[in-house]
Amino acid sequence: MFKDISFGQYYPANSFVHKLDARTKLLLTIVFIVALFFIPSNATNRVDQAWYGYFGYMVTFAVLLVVIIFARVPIGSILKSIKGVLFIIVLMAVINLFVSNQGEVLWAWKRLHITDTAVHTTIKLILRLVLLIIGASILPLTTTPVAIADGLESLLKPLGWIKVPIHDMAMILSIALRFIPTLFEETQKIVATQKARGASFDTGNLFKRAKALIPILIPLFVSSFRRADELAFAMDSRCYNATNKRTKYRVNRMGWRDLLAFLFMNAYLVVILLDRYYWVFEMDRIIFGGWLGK
Amino acid sequence: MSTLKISGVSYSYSIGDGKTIRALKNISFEVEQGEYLALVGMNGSGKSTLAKLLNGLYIPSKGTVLVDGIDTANDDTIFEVRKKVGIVFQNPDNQAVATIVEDDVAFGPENLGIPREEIVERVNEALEAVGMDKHRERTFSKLSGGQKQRVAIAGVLAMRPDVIILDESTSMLDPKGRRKIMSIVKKLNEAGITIINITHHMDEAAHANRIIVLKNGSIIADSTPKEIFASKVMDEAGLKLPLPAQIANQLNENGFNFESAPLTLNELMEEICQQLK
Repeated sequence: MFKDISFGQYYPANSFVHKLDARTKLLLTIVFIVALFFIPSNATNRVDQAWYGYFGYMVTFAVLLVVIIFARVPIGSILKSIKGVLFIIVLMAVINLFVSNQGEVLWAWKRLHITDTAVHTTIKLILRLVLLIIGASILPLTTTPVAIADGLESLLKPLGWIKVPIHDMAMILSIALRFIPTLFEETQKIVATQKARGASFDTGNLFKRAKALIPILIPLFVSSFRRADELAFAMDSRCYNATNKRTKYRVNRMGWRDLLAFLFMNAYLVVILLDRYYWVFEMDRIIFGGWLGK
Repeated sequence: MSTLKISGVSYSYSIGDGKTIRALKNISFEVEQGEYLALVGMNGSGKSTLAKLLNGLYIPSKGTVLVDGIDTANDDTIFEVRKKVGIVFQNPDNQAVATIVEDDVAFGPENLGIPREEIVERVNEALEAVGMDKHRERTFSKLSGGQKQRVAIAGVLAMRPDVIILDESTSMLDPKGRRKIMSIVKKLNEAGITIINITHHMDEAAHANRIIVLKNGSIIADSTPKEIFASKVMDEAGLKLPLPAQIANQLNENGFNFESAPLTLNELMEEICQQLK
């Protein structure tokens, strides 16, 4: 039932990207997402330039390729994360295809029509989403959940000055990540138990199916509370909150790798910004202009 | 070096409506450093409650629990107590806080604010002691039940405790995992750590050099395994004898004469051979 979920699935390896500080990877993931949204999705209204605007996506693709090679994670595990949201991507693409009124009409039926601009913006939308998911999956694939929680705690430290309980939040996050597989296992067991008693989860309409989930959720909640209780005892036994000066087993130190990664990703951001505000499709003209003969 | 001193301890649960259940009634005993003690009794006899009283997770309703002279009821020194007395709980899944094995083992020392260099040393030492050093970078949830419990023991060991309490820690494991845990525990005891094993497996209790039998919240026997298995106490507590002792009892009824209960099958065989001569 939950075999496809690759969330929090750390892929152990000893690569350049694995060795980066979690904070570096967190910040650079944000840089990447910001850059991705600066890539124009609509080139221009002019028909002859509908093909423009792909340069940013090509650069992004190349950058991701480099990152994946340096991360040494298998393509399969990356594609798995796309599979999870494939339905949403397809749905958004289909809607997007019909909404644009600009450009040359390629196909029309009654009130529905598809223009060439719509085709291009749709392709760009799909590219943007796929690249976003690939880029965002690098972080959990190459960083242990604990390191991510630690990195977040360290990055959010300034909030501690205004009495936000950063450490507790990091602990909650780390425990949540630790218990995700345990609770999935538990859910599967409960599903099997209820099936053995004749419950059916794949028949009936949407409401019937939603209702069928209740006998799964209630035992899951009860057992989660029991687990939380036991975990609290175990944490107390191991002196949680014994001192305010808690030390860290994992040390986070930035090194030359982090510097290189920062330079690389920021160069990427600069290229994307230049493409949008300074070159304005100059690159597309160079690449596609000759090819299109215009 | 820690001695546990439990004097006149009672503990009551509130079950709502102003009603309470007395889980433990006026219990007193002492445990010296280096002892290997087994606490046995049926479900509901108060064993697990007792475990939680020993490191201050519960505070006695009456009486005192002293760890090395420190009262567990004192809030200011509670972490001193918990540093000395660690508990390994029953469910292997519900004790780990971190996803990666070594991070979880480091949790205790981190909480104590120990310098990083020493944490590394302690984590290495603890993982080696339970034979999990090869799995240090693995994901906790992908380990077997027995391996998870070994990590839990390592997590307690990393605090360098004087006393380790196993609160039915093997009850969810397969026989192989159980044997492994018992051999690790034996090794730890030989290294000088006090072991208190709360169990209802009598073959496990036979490993101890002292057994305390609980029934309905009271101690009904406190002696060596040999004496306890030879007496009628186990019957009284509603517990089953380990196999060698059972056989010896049957043989006693048929003309043999065992003075004390054999703890292992080898011991039983030797005794039978001697008596047949």
